[in-house]
Amino acid sequence: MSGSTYVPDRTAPPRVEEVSAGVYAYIQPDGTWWINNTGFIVGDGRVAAVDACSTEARTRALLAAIARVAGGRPVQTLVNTHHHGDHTHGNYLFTDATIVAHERCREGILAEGPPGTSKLVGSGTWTDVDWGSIRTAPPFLTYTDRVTLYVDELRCDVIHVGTPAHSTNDSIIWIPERQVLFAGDLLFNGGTPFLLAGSVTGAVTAVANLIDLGAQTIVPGHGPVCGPEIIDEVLAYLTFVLDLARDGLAARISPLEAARSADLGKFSDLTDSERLAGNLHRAYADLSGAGPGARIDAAAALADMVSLNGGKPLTCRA
Amino acid sequence: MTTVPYTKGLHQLTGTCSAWLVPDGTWGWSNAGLVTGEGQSLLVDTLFDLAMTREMLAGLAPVTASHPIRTVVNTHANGDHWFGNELVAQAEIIAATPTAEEMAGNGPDLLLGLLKQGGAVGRFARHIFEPFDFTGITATPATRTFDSELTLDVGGTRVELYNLGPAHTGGDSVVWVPEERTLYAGDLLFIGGTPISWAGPISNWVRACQFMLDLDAEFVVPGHGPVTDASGIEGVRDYLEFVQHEAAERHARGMSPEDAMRDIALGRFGELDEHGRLAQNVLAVYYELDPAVERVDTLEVFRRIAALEGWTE
Repeated sequence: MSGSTYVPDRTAPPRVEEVSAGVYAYIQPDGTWWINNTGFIVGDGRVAAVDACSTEARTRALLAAIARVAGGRPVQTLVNTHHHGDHTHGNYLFTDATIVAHERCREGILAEGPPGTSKLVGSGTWTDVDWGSIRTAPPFLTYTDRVTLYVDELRCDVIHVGTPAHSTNDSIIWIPERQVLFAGDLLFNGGTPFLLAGSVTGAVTAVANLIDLGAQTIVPGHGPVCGPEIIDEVLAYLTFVLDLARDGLAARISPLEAARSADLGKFSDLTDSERLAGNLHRAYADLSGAGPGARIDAAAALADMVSLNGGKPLTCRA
Repeated sequence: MTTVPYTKGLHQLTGTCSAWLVPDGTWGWSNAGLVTGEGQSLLVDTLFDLAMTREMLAGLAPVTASHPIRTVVNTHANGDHWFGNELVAQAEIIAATPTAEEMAGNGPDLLLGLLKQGGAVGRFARHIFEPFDFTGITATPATRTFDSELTLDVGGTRVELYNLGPAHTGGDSVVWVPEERTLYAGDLLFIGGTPISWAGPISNWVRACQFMLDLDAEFVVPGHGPVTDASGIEGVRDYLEFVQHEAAERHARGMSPEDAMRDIALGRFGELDEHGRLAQNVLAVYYELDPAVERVDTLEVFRRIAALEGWTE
């Protein structure tokens, strides 16, 4: 009775969740490669946003959702949690916003360039994506440690995590009086954490430091809104990667060989499991004294991720 | 969430979303849905015969008198979701393109032919389909089609259609009302009964389950069975993954589909109604693994389902 060979490959539509009065998470299923979460905080007369999306279409949909919820109040501030394109490609569509981020986030965006010229995007690592007409729009108000943003009376602490972790420039947005945390890509919920561009050991420190905040509601960089239990889950994965790296270094096998022989156990349910190869490249560097966030051969790591994925480009549904 | 009783009739789920439930959810006993907006409403599916559909339309009248049905969405091309269309023919009837194509070959004649069969398959077909009256039905197909997704404005209520097939059939649309977080899943969900993959691939059905889970719905109305939530979607996904795994393993060992369906021990899934549908699901897995596997016609599929459920010559 089959009448079609058409097989869709797309994700469920994004959703807005009010995680606290006036504080919204914008959750994009399925949270896999280049499909991130964002957020926004609505004040009496203006809106502050956390992160853009990876493509023009997804960012336009985000702006439409903000407009629906905020009734046309302008987005006057945009904070980037880090420089990766899935969180910053759409910056240029926030035309009336002051774009705020860590100093190295600005450097990272400028070094990377738009997807059309980006070596990373053009590396053939991922399946093709319709990015739209992305123009580079880096943060133009930067900090090196932290900055405090007020939306009316609501205090939002924008805090650099102090060490390379997921990237070299991760910041979190912590709203103390609501116990709400926008964790950026320090935390993935349902997806495999990704440390290639930062430091596994640094991430252990940065993620463990989140515990002391006492957050009740966490908006991860990818995946559904969750509670503080996600912190232990991510820490368990980071420990797993470091253990594999120690064993792999001792056995003098490559990161890819270590990844291939690993038993993922409970982590096999996480999406994008091929990230393990990239994570092991970084963990090897960390444990060999390269220093957190040191430049390593990312192209080799990405190639190993493709190998671990059976030689196929990594599926990107952005 | 509050539990919606599984009783025949109209159940209001939210301000604008209702379900018309038809126990017991086995062969042909399907659910429909109603979404209302300012001065109009959208009907999700009609029922298997004219009498059932008339009864439903009468039951919906308290709502539709002031909110007439202007739009009908047929989730897929099995008769229990569209044979009543002629009774709502004044409305625009929307279906996914592959569904509209399948409707042409899926009319009442197929069932009338099945009922006339001799032997065990005929007795089985009469056992499950005798309660329905397939005479006098004027097949009334869709008047508007869409390929992948379509957004509708039903008197101010936003309604999103997503074709997530092929899976159960060649086109399987779900109806999502985002403001009410209510999902009408059609036969991508059987709750309490066994899913059946007429079209496949089952891997795409698993992916459709993930799509539905990602919607984060509060109310999920299946094509058959009681109103559910994420747990119901997970249950269908688990069954499909189980069959996929078990059948693929037997395919790798060179077992025939018919031997495989007899060899698989269903375990907890054996408690679902219509466990014999395993026969078709095994075929769907084999077709996906090896497109060269010989296709089995519908009559033979029913013979195998009947045999698994104890209807032998």
